[in-house]
Amino acid sequence: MSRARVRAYRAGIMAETLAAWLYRLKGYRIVARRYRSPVGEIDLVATKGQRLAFVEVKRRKTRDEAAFAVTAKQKRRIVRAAQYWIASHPAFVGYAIAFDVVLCAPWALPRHVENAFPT
Amino acid sequence: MFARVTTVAFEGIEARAVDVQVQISSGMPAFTIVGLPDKAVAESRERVRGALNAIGLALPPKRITVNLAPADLPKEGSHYDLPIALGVMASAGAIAPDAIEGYCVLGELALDGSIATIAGALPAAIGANAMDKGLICPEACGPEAAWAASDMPILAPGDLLQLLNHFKGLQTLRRPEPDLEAEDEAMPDLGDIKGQETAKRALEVAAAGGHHFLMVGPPGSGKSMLAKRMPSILPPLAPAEMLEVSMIRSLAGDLAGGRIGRNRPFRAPHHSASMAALVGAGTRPRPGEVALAHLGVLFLDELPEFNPQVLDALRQPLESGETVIARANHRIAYPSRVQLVAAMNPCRCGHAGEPGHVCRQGPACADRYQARISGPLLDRIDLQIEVPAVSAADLVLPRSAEGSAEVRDRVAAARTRQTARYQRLGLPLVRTNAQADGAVLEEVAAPDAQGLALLRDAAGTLSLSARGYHRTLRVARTLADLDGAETVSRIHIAEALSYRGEALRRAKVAA
Repeated sequence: MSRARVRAYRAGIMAETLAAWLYRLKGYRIVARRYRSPVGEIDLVATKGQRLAFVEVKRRKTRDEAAFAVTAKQKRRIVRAAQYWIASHPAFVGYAIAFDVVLCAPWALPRHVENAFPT
Repeated sequence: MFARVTTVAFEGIEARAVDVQVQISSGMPAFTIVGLPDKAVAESRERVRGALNAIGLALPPKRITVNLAPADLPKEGSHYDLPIALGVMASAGAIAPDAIEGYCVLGELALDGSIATIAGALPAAIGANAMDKGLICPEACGPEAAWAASDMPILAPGDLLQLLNHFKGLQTLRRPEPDLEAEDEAMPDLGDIKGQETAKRALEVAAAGGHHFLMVGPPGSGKSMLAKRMPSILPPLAPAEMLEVSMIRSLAGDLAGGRIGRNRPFRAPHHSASMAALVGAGTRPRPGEVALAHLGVLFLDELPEFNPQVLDALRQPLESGETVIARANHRIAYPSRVQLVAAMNPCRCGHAGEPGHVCRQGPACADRYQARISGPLLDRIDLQIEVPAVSAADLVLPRSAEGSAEVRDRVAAARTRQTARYQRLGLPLVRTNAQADGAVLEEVAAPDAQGLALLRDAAGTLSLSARGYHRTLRVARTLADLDGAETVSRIHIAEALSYRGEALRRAKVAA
C-alpha cells in the first residue's frame, strides 16, 4: 500500500473509533465493529433499547464531501450486509432496524445522521 | 401499529370504497404500497414522506406496508396521498385512529404539506354519503363536495397541519358552503340572428322535444351561430340533473372553484377529435365529450369532416343514452344523454343546391361529401333542415323583437307538458319526445283523422320508411306540444314532414 493509502486507512480506523465513542456517549452498546460478510461490510453495529443501528462511518476532507461519498451502491451493500448480520444473530430479530451515518472530517466534530437510509 | 382509512376509487361516475390499510412492523426499514397502484399512486410514497417532513414528522424507520383493498381493483389518480399519509400517522400514533374512522379521505399532497385539488370530489362525496361517512377533501373541492348532502360532515383543510390541529382540537375546520356558479349572463341571444326564421323555428322545435338536429347550408349562413344559441333557449337543469352533470364535470376536473352551474352543457369538439376524445377511452378512462355534454348539447360543426369511424362511435351513446367503455381491465359506463346538433355544408365547395350555382365536379362532389356520414347516424337525427344563405336584405332588418327569453318560455312549457305526460303513462325515465319510441310513441302521437290521411298520403308519395314514419310522428308530437294541443293534427304532421331532410336529397339532385 502506498503511504497515502496507509494514512487514509489509519484515519478511517480513527474515525470509526471516534464514532464508536460517540455512540457510547449517547447510551448505545456496541455489538460489532468492522463486520465483514460476503455481501458487504458494516463499520459499527450498535443498540440502545429496541433500536438496532447499523452505522456507516465516512471520513473526508470536509463533512459535506463525506456525505456525498455514501453512494447508492454502498447503501445497498450495507442493507444486504445488515440482513446477513441479523440472520446470524437471531437474538436481535425483533429490534427496530435503523441505518445511521457518521460523517467525520479533520478538526471537526462528527455529524451524526440518524435513519439516513433506506426509508 | 395498524390503521385503516377509507377512500374511494372511481369506476365511471360510481365511487367504490377502497380500504387503505397501513401496518408498521419492526424489520428492515421500507415503505411499500401494494394493491395494484398505478404510477401516480406508487409515487405518492415520496410525497407522503415530504409532506410529513414538512410538518415536522418523520416516517418511522420501520417496515411500513400500505395495502389498498380490494387488491384486484386498479387504483389510479393522485387522491390516495392524503389517506396514505393519515393511515401512516394513525398507525404511528400521531393521530387517534378513531378520529378518522368516520371519514372517507381524498387529497393529493404537496411536498410542503399543503393539500392540492383532485378531480372527482363530488362523486366521492356522494359515495361517502352512501357509506354513511363524512368526507375529508382538499379545501378547493369543499364547495363542490358540500352539494352531496346537507347534513354530512365535510372537512376541507388547506394543509396537513390544519387537519392535524382539527383532530387535536386546537383549531376547528368549518363545513364548506355549497356554491353556485354565477348565472352566465353573457350567453349569446337568439335575437342576434336576423332572418333565418325557418331555422329558428326548427331550433325551437329541436329544443322543445330534445330532438337531434342537423343543419345543411352554405358557409356563412349562420349555422354555427344558431347552434351556439341552443343552450340559451333550453330550460335550466333541474336540481337532480345538475348533480348528474356536475359529477361528470367533477371527474373531468372541470368544475372551476368547486361551483356547480345550472346552465346546460354545450360541447363543441373540433372535427379533428379522436375517438378517445369524443367517447372517452384510453388506459385510464376519462369522460369524453359525449359524456361531458350529458343533458346538454353536443355540437358537431362540419359534420362530414369528422372521422367516419368516430361518428359511428356516437351511434350507441345516442341510442342508449350512455357510453360504455369496455377494456381489458375496465368496464365503465358514463351517462351521456345528449342532444346532437350538427352542421354541415352540402358539398365540399359548400354551395351545392344554391340557385344559379353549378359545381364543376358535378353531383358526384356532393355525393362523395355526404357519403362520409353513415345512413344509420343520419337516421337517428329527427330534424334535418336546410339553412339557405342570408341575403343582404335580411341584414338591414332591425334586430328581431323575439329574444331567447320568450322562446325559452315556450320550450319550457312544451317540456313540462311532455314530462307530465310520460310520467302519467308510468315512464319516468322518458323526459322528452325524442326519447319516446315504438308503441308509446304511436299511442301519444296518434294523429286525428285528417292528420292520419295526410300521413298515409305522404307515406305513399314520399316513400317513408318505418323509421322515417316514426320520426315524423315524434316531431309532430313536439309541434303539438308547442301549440299546447292534446292531439296531433294535420298542420303538425305537415310541418313535421318538412323537417325530414329533403335538404340533402335536393342538394344532390341540383348539384
